[in-house]
Amino acid sequence: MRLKKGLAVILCIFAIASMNVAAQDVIKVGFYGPLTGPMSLSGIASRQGAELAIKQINANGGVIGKKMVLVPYNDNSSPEEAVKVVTRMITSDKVHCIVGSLHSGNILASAPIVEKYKIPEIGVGTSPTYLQKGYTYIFRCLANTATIDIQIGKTIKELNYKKVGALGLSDEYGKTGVEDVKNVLDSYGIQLIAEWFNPGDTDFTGQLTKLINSGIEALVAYGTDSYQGPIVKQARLLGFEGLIFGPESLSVPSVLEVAGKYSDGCVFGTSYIVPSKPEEAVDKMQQDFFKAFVAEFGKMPESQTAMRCYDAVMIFAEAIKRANSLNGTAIRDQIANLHDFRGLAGTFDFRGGNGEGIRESRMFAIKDGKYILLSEFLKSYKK
Amino acid sequence: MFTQVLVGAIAIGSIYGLVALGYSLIYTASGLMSFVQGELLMLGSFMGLTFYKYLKIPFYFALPLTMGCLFLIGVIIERYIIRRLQKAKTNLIFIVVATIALSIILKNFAMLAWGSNVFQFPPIFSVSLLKLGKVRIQPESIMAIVIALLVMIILHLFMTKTRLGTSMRAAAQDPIAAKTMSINVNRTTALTWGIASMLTGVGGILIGPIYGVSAEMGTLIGTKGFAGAVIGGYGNMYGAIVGSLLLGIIETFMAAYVSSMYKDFVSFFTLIIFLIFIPRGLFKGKVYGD
Repeated sequence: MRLKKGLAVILCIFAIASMNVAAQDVIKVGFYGPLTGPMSLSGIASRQGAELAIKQINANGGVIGKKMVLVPYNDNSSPEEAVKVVTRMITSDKVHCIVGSLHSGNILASAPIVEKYKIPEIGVGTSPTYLQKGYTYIFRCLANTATIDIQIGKTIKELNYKKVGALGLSDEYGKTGVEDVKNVLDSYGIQLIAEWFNPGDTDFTGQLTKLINSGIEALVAYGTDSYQGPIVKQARLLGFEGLIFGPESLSVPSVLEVAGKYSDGCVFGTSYIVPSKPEEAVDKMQQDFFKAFVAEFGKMPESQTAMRCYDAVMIFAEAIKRANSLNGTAIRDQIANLHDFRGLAGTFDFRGGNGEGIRESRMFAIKDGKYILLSEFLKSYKK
Repeated sequence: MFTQVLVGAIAIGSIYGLVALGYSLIYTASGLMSFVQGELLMLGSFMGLTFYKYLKIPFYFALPLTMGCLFLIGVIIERYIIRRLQKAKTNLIFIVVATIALSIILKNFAMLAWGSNVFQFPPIFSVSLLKLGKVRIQPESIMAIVIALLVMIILHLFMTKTRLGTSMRAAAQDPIAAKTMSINVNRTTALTWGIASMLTGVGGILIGPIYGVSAEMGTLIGTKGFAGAVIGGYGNMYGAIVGSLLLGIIETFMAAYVSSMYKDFVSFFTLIIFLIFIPRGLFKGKVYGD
């Protein structure tokens, strides 16, 4: 009887010990994003980017001898849902790192949990706010909109415009963005007239007619992805021929789809862009990425968000390798000091202390239905 | 500038009008409020897109084809959802809630079937833009205005001067009395829903080339169409168009001349003012007792 009990205890200890070992055999990468709802195309694309990165890493032997595994969750574009799934993935699934949502609001909502449990998170939303609250475990692997806004302002100044209009979505993204641009332009003494529209609105005749009539030389379109195409199209149809500036939401393929030939003259900043063929990508690293993506998923990504999460996973892999540990704080410390790691967005440098990894965004323009670098576009542009 | 804004206002007002006609028609001829019109507009737009752009069916076939599909959908909704609920003597308000639920289902169905992007509807006319003096207008906008006005007149004449139209109104006012007059209430109600859906679907196809097609497009337009119908007199055909045009003008001029931040606020504030001071609307819509 005592022998049996003793044997049972020893077996239990082995079982528990082996469970731990098994748990430590894989690197669990948590992921949350809008897999359903209006942003689902971008959300699913972002998950695919993460999946591709993990597949490539595992094919090369994994990291520190372990395979990576994605633990994906749907945040349904809702902050409440984000808090739920992040809590679950940390406390129940015990993820070692997290690739954060496209929705900056969701990253902000779940930030306290990530900070409390000391799990490093790389966010892929572009609003500057979630890195301005002093969280030490959150990073970003692409240029935020503040960076892009500054560059928009600079470009407007270089072109010697004196009066510029803006049409913004009246949510956090649009309001923060337009205000940022206004602040930059104010510092140059350039006038910005702002008009607004509400979510769900499809008709901008009133606002655009008013702006065009007041003689604006350029327009800043600050809506989220699905509004930018209609804004560009309606502005051009109403006779506006100047340049249309915008953040990375102006880089989505639907702008070309909806506005067609009217999309010429759009200027935007973005860390990533999805061309129509892998060969048209701006550098070899991106070409290789697109070729691999097409091989894995059958077609080009629906959104450049795939590239964001690809970079995020690659950064985690590098950090874990350098830390040689799965401890959250150790991984975090490695990321915070990372400054020579090249990703699709460029060379990352997280040493600024606030978690931002990229401080400059590439600027692009649309000409003849194709994306070209802004520097190229300006060479042949006449006002 | 004034003319440009006016033209834009009348164009969007006409679209609201087609949706509002749907609401008023259903109310006049079946005594019910339906909140699924916005999503039917969106479905019409997507179907038109699929036929015209992806299946490359010429527009003069794609349009009636879409209208036919929407008509069928309207009849199906009436027969299998509305009629069932009515048979079970459900409280009217619950039927309204059922239409709201249906609108959510249709919206998500569209997202699943076509995706959540904004799609481009190819131009229907070979000219993409008309310039009349200083005013620029898409020919599709002109078509929307003309069709909305035509439909308004045709429907009004149909409802008041034809036998079928009058029986539809009778069936809505008092189904039991109508039945004793050997009016097939089931058939007229089904017909109503079919026609209303068909009209809204046409609105969807017209709006496609102007604003693009997306799963989200129906919600706000549906709500504003409802507001337009109330302002003009719920249940009145002329009221639906006039009320919607008025709404389109108020909100577009507000955005152009005063402040765009308050555009939607002004639209719905107008609705509230009308509900408080002129509840039966401009054309004195009838109210059916329970």
